[in-house]
Amino acid sequence: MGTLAGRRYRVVHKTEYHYGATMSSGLTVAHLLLRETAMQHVISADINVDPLPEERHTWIDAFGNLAVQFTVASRHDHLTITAVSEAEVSAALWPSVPETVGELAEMTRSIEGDMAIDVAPFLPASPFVPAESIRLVGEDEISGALASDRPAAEAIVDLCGRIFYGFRFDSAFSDISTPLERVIDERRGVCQDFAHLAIAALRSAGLAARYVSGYLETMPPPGMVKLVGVDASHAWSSVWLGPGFGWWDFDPTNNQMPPRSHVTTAWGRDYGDVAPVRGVVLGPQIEQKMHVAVDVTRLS
Amino acid sequence: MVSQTLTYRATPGRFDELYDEGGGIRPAWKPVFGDVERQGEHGLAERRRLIGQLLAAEGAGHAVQDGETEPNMLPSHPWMVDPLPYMLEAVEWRALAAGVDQRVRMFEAMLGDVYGSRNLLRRGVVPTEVVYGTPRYRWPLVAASAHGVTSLGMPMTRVALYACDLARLADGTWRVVADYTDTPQGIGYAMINRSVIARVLGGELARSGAATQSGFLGAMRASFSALAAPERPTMRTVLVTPGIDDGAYVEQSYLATLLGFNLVENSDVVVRNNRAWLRTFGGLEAADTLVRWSADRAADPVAGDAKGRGGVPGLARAHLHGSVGLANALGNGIAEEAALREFHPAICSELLGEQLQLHSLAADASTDSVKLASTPISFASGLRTGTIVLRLFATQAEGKVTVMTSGIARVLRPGDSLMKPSALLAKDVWVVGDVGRAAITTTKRQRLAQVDLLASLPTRSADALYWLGRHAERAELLARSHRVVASREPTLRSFPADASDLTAHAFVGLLRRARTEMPAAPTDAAGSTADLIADELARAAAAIDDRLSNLSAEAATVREFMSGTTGRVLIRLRNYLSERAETGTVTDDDLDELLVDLAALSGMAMESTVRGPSWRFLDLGRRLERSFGVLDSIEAAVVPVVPNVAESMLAEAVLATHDSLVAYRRRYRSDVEIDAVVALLVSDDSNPRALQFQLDRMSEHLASLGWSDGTELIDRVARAIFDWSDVTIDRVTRRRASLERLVADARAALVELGTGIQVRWFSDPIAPQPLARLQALGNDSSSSVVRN
Repeated sequence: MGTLAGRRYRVVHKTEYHYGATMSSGLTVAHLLLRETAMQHVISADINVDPLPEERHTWIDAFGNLAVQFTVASRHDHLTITAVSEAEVSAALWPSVPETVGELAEMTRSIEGDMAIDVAPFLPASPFVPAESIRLVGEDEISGALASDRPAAEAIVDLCGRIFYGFRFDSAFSDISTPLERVIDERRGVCQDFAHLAIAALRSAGLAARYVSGYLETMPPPGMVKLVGVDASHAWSSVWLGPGFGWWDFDPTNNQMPPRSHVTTAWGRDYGDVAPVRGVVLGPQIEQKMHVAVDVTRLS
Repeated sequence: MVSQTLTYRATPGRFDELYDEGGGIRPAWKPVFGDVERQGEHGLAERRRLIGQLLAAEGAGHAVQDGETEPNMLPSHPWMVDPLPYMLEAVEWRALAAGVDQRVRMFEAMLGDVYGSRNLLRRGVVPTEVVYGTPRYRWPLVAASAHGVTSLGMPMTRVALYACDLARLADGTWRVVADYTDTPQGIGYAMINRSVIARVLGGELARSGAATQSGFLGAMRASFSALAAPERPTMRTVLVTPGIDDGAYVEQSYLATLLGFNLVENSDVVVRNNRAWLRTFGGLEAADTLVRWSADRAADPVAGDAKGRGGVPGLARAHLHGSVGLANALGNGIAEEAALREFHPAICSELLGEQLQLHSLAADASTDSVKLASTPISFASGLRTGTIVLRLFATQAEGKVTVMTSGIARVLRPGDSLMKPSALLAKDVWVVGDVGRAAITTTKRQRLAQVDLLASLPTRSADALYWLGRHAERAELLARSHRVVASREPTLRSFPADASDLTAHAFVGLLRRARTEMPAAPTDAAGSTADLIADELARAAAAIDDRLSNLSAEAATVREFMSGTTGRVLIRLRNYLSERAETGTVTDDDLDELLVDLAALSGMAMESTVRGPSWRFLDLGRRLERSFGVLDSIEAAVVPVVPNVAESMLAEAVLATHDSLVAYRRRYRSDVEIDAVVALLVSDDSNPRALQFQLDRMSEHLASLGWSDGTELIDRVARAIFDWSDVTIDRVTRRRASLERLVADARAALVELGTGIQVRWFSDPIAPQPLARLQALGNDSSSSVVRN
């Protein structure tokens, strides 16, 4: 398998909350620290929080991601979380998988030993990819790509293309609470919807699929200067290609296999396992304002 | 004597609890059944009535709930206990207890495995989708590094409390209907049922030699203390309720009282530095073990797959770290999963190396699909054949399982799912015979160091006690005003028209002020003064109802601070309310009785409450409200200009409203003299109804609670009193003006005090709100050549 040259990226991901009132304390869990992968070496990853949290705990979650929980225990009216990371990312060309989709599904079904830990969690329905939407997606035209007698890699290339050409990217249409059913109905969505779509299609075919969150280097339109803060967090999918090959990523939002300028933060069964920031704040009832800015800079 | 009880017949070919195969009464049932026969229908009806009363006295507004449904969503129903208990031979109980013991050990091992090494999945003992395919398997509690061991390196005990429902089939064998490993419910209900039955059937209970439940409380305490992280000198357990609306609140507060632990709400607990702390009025106090009733996914709002906003933020991490003992552990819900049942035998042999003793029924079993053994149930119409589901309870401390030598038998209706009996009729379970040493000598008597419940007071409880005091005092003021005005109103008719109107106006003001309304009545008074007063009396009666229901709601959240007798007075207050709701009227007798009950309540607060902060907050509320009451009455009935004929009547009315008429007569032995009346109610520090007396008590409380700003506000009121008494009052108009100023100044300072108390101790808003989530990942594709 060929490997594409490594690139070095710097990512700044800033999340700001303004509460409009003084809150007595707050507790936040973040999946913002980059994880080490076969294709990614993390040079540095750090999270700065303002106001300075009274405590901070970091651990490795069930899927091997780095999770951070911090508590601001004093009065505060805003919260700014800035994750600054540098990583070297390479990409490998997809392997030529000898199995058909059906054979791969059979291998996936009969896993045991360590694969019961590494693969099986990504096979059943999960909160953002519920059984009902797996059934719906399985009946959808995009899942036609995954005929059981087709060579697996070819089938996944087709799936990726069918999502890319069959769905319109529309950042105004969906948010994280939009059910997959509506995305299927309206043929519109954003990256996490497309990642969930691909996952649902793969699971409906009996393959293990996971959700990958991270960043993507974006280019300004020709002739324009790249603006600060225009990048965003991104999400794509990963599929298990059998014990010999393991997990391989693809980006249905950009029809990329393999993804070439993607920086990986974390993965899980779906968005819910790796939401970049979740938390609660204690204090009076408030209307909070939230702002996110992401910059991905290529260093080499 | 030939009662319908004799119509009870066993069905041939079906195991019957009462009759053996030969038609003879089984030994365990003989004494109690003989007693039922002697009692006859009337005796049973009387017992049923008594049981109903006693259950109501325990606040049994809630049914025994099923563990699987969302506790907060359950409507509450009163349940009833059959005067005929369910008899279980000790030999049979021992076999069931051994099976229960094994299940506790099996689930403990299974939970340790699925959240740790996951060997059951690696080896294919359990198909992965059975575990991974349900939201009851909680990924945030799977620690990549921890293999069933907390970060502190201690093994985690996950099943501290356990319950299971069992059904006896028609062939006499037992099957498990459901396991409860998340928030097992019913332990408190079993104890309430027993305490009620013991009072109604005390003699029978003693003669039967039925095993007691008391050892189980000790075993629970031992279990909770074993959960605490090591080296905690101030080992402290608190029970955490989702709130007073929770379906199982009654048993939670009952258990808190029996165990002598604080019952707190989720918002009373905070996690800092991986430990749990209780918000008390004195600051944060460590809590080492939490007994939770919030369902698994509702227990921590920041755990990845959390449901809802409630719970204790950060609890999951602290629990995994090992610094917070939890009964039961988070993630335990998976063990209740019906899809796992068919693998129990394999799990048991894999993890324990034992054969499974108790087997499960299908999850959807109902009385239609499964033929159950018959049991005698006593209905109002006589003894009938019925079926029951038996709930048994266990608690575990460091691998040692104790099974309660009792339980709850719940009666099924035809067509009921075995998991959801709908009859709301329970039987106390009497285990008779030799239960074995293991069951009795379960725990050596442990003296568990507890933080002094009297010295430490959760903020929310302080809040509730303070308002309890205020509502009780205001209810009393309303009731007295009502009595006083109602009894004097007829006298007005003998007054000249002008005088009558002015006096009526003052009476209306007195009643309105008692309702904390402005004293001036609406000017468009259309009806006669009699109608006006009747109208205000009705409003005052309604205001009493409001205060009493608030009072009883606050009281329900602080039951563990109240004596049993106080509980009875509260029941009487509730009865007053339900009678009022039924009749819609209130008589002088009703109010007199109510005043006696309210006096009993305050008497018990004085005489049966140890002088800790809980008592101080209760009394602070009462004193503050009484202070307002004095000012209210003076403003409404002493300050206004009234004709001479009415002056002394009004002054008397005010004295009576503040229960000071007798004191006045003893002291002055004269006709009512306004200045003397005001002095007695305002500046006389020996009159427990006087403003000055309230100030002195509040000063003591605030000094003890350590709030000097509050003491300064009290001083301001005292200065207002001093200024008023210092004025040489030579003219009526000046007297009224100075009184008006006294009322205004004193009230302003007291209002500030009330606000200050609220801000200082109770205002921290503690409901967690979720942080906003990103509306959509990615931005407009037009700004970049790739989409994201």
